[in-house]
Amino acid sequence: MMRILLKIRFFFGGLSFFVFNSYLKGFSQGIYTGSAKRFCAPFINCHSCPSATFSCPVGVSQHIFTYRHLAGATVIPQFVFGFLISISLLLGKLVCGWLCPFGLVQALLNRIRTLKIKIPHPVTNVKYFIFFLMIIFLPSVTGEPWFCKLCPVGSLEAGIPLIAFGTASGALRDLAQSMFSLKLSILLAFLVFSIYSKRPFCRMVCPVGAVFSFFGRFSLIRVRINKEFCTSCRLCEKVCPIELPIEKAVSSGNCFLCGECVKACNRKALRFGFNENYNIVFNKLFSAFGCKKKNIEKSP
Amino acid sequence: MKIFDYFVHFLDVFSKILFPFNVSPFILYPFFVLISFMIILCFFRNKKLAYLKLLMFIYLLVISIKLLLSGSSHSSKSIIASELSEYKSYASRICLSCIGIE
Repeated sequence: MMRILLKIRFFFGGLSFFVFNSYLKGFSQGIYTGSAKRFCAPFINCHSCPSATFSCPVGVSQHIFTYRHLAGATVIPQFVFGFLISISLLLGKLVCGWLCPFGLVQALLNRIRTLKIKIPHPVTNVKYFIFFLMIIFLPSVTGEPWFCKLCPVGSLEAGIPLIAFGTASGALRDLAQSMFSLKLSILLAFLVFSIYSKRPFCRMVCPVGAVFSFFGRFSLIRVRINKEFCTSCRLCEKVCPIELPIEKAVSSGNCFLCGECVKACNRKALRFGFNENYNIVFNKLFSAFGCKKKNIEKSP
Repeated sequence: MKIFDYFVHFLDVFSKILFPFNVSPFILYPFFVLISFMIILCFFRNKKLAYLKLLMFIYLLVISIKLLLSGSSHSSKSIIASELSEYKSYASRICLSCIGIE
């Protein structure tokens, strides 16, 4: 069952894009203003897109932080943070690996066979700095959503559709100036970069990914390694989008839980399961109460 | 002075995320430091820290639910009466940041 799901993983990314952007009437009748906009998508999904049905967690967070500049009060986007933290605690970065449409675009572009460039792991920590600077600091100080102004996902999902097919596309085309050119350049740079490197935007920039990575260390679901079956062939490392040794990859919060390693492993030494740390505690508790754990591992 | 103001603001932001309860700063900040220290400890890959990791998982899960509930309820204390209606009113208009204009 899991193998079948892994084979159609990209289908889920496409499906989530249509679910979160299903208001197609928006292109002729204007942006969606229904009650679903009270809630945010679990990934960057620009709410300025005429067909967007949910709000963007990054956009609304910045808006709430601008109150520091506008009203001198510290207001926290509690719902967004509660939502993102609870997702990362239960599912880790599963949303990034399976549902994020921009992640899907990058993963598909990376399938083009050409020279591949490895992103050094320390560089991926830049996303925490970007989160701090662009989501909290600059909106609080300047009162403007700076990440949205530069966001390549916004350019792709909202900027381009608004200018190309929106109801006011003519007027918006006249308004768009050098900043929009800069946004398009950033988008183009990331799309080209995706051909050569694995998911560069997700790993280095995405603020939602930064929250998921930080709290994903505590996530309930993990990829589990059965060392008895592992032959150290390193096939899993070749396909891993975070380009880390498998032991480090599965225990770091950066794992997308995309299951590429599970799919690649011929010996079935990798599988989805509960976090090893919690299993250790539960096993000790079970043994303390005199219960024996059943051995569920099957030989390959 | 302004830098100090921003520092307090950031401390406020992170402490209200990791300890979202209305308590005096004398309790809030030491507790925030303690929680941060425990989270940093959890970053080490050591099987002896399994209990701490489970404890932090439970704590963070409770905190995230608390954040969700307080975010979805109407608060008269905040300058924003309801967070969800604020999201809706903000996300229901084209902010034009997507084409680089505010």
